[in-house]
Amino acid sequence: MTMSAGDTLTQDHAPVEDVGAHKGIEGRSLGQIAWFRLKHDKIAMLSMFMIILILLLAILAPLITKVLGVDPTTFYRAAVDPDKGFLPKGGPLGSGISGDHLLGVEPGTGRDTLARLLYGARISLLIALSATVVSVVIGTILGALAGYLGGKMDAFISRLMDLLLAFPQLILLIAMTPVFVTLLDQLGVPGTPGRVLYLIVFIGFFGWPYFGRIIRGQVLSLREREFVEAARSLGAGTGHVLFRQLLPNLWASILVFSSLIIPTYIGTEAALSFLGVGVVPPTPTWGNMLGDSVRYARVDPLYLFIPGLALFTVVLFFNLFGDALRDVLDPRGSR
Amino acid sequence: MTTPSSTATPEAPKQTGDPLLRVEGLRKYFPIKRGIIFQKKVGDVKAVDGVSFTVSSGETLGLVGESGCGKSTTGRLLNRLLEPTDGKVFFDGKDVSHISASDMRPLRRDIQMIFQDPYSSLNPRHNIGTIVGAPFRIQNIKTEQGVKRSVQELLERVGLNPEHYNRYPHEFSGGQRQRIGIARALALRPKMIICDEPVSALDVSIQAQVINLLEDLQNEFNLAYIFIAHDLSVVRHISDRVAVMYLGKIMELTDRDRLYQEPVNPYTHSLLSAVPVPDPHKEGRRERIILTGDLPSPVNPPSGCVFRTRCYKAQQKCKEEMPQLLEVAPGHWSACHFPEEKQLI
Ligand SMILES: Nc1ncnc2c1ncn2[C@@H]1O[C@H](COP(=O)(O)OP(=O)(O)OP(=O)(O)O)[C@@H](O)[C@H]1O
Ligand code: SF4
Ligand SMILES: [Mg+2]
Repeated sequence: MTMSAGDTLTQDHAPVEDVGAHKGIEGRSLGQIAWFRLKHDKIAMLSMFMIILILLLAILAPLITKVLGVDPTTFYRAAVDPDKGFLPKGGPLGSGISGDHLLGVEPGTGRDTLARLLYGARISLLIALSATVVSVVIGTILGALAGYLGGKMDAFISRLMDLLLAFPQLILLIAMTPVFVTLLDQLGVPGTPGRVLYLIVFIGFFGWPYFGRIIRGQVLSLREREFVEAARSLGAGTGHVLFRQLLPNLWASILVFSSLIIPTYIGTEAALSFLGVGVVPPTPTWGNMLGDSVRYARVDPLYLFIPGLALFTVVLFFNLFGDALRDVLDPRGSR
Repeated sequence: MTTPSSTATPEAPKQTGDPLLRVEGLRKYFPIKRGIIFQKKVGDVKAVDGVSFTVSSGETLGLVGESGCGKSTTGRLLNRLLEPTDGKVFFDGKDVSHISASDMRPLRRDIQMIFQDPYSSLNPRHNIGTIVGAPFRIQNIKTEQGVKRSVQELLERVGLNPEHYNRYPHEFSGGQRQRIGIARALALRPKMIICDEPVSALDVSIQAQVINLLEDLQNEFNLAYIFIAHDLSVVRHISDRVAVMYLGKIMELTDRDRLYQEPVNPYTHSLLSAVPVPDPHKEGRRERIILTGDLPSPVNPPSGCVFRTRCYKAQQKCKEEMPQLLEVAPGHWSACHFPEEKQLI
């Protein structure tokens, strides 16, 4: 009998040395290694910090506004000037920024911009994150089934993905919204929650083929790996292979592409609300704030700039984080 | 000399009772389809084309042939990862050729597999405990001392540190990974292990260690091996009998010593002449047969004898008539119209 030490002498280079040098007996998984590398990536850490900060601000919006003594739906009559067409009173560039209203007020109504921005973040992020979950779940399941089972299943799912990706979803959404909103109303789902739900489902549904294609491609190459055959020769069924063997190898892609698709969904939601087919006032979202502010761009440019900057920041940091994650999880994928 | 029909099975000479595995006229044709929506079958890849052999318990059958001759496909047919197009596989007397996945499940404990590529045969996201413990979990087997203890015993048995239970595949060398694969195959105490080129991806120095380990385990657990390799030198040491395959067919099948010393099939001769001989005196006297021409495609194999396009002895008859696998001497089977008479060396 030969001992494994023989192997280490001749066969291997780096990994074995590593094993020996390791203090404990605990191994390091690929995930732990990726996290270790991520921690040493400054941009990744900065963008992660910013994303967490923005999420916290959104989650804590009710608390923050309470402390500041403002409210997103109250009309602060005192902050607007009825003689000048209800434009904000004072502040730089006619924004109405003051001690009471740190980011000014909305022209016309006098609603507090900071409160609306914070509450708007809640809706915008809720829609984007939930829609991403919808896309990931549908895309991963159908993509993995198509890739693993192949044949007719693959042909059907692949054509369905082509079809959905070719759909002009924005136009469809604009056309369909009134129909759905009335339908939801009749079903007794009230305005805003109904619209939020509808946007989540709609954006999420039209986005799954994007994940589906990526996952299908990954599964196509993974299923040829011998560990799949090993599991099958032990008697594992499709469920075990998909969820126990393949899924752990898909998490990296799922994470990377989620963090890259979240910002595009934030953008989609903003675009829809901007066009007035998303969530409508008085419920604030960054999209409808932007849509509203365009009319006042000349007299109150900061009112346009503030939600615009918020949108830009979130999208930027999500993208930076997604890129860093991709580099860390799959060095070969870096372009 | 007997002249059996084409379905007769070449058996080990000292056969007593039923063999562990009996394969009769096994075929696997992969259809080639064209078209995206309306798929039309335009031909077949004849990966395995009428293969028969037996394996007794505790025995090692070497399965040798060039790349693409259908060795892996044969292995996958035996453990029913693939369903045969034709022919039969009997395991432990039971016909498993077309049994359902659920009927096959309990039998999988007895037939295990070791793979060629130590990098792709272990799931990179699972630790060693999960990988070697998978057989117990998938087959729903409770072990006396618990899965963890059993896994650690297995690791120890294949020469790995049982403390490395929580480590991941990327932390091991190729040889160590192959040992992990062996531990996994061993977990359910199978009766037969299909080793699909288990050492081809390893350094020569480590090949011997892994083969030694396989031999030790065979003696300890009375395992039957089907040992797949693409050259005759690797299987020489471990095999009891060797089958030489070419384009989905068995060309020659006999005892190890006989095959290496008195091969009768021209294809075996060609393969053996490529294997270096340690004795330079013999090496000088040996005639070298160089295989000329390309390997024909299994989609369109040559008529008659599949080897005729590259055979140094090919004649008109080889083109017209397919040679049957016949018993040229007790326990020595060969498919050739013009077998070699003289000894190789
Ligand atoms: N799933 C499949 N679909 C179509 N053709 C296949 C499939 N699997 C194998 N083949 C073909 O069958 C033939 C035999 O393949 P197989 O893998 O059994 O060869 P092999 O002897 O194991 O070769 P190697 O030494 O390269 O591993 C090859 O021509 C291969 O292309
Ligand atoms: S049958 Fe003819 S072609 Fe085939 S191996 Fe024999 S001599 Fe060669
Ligand atoms: Mg092979």
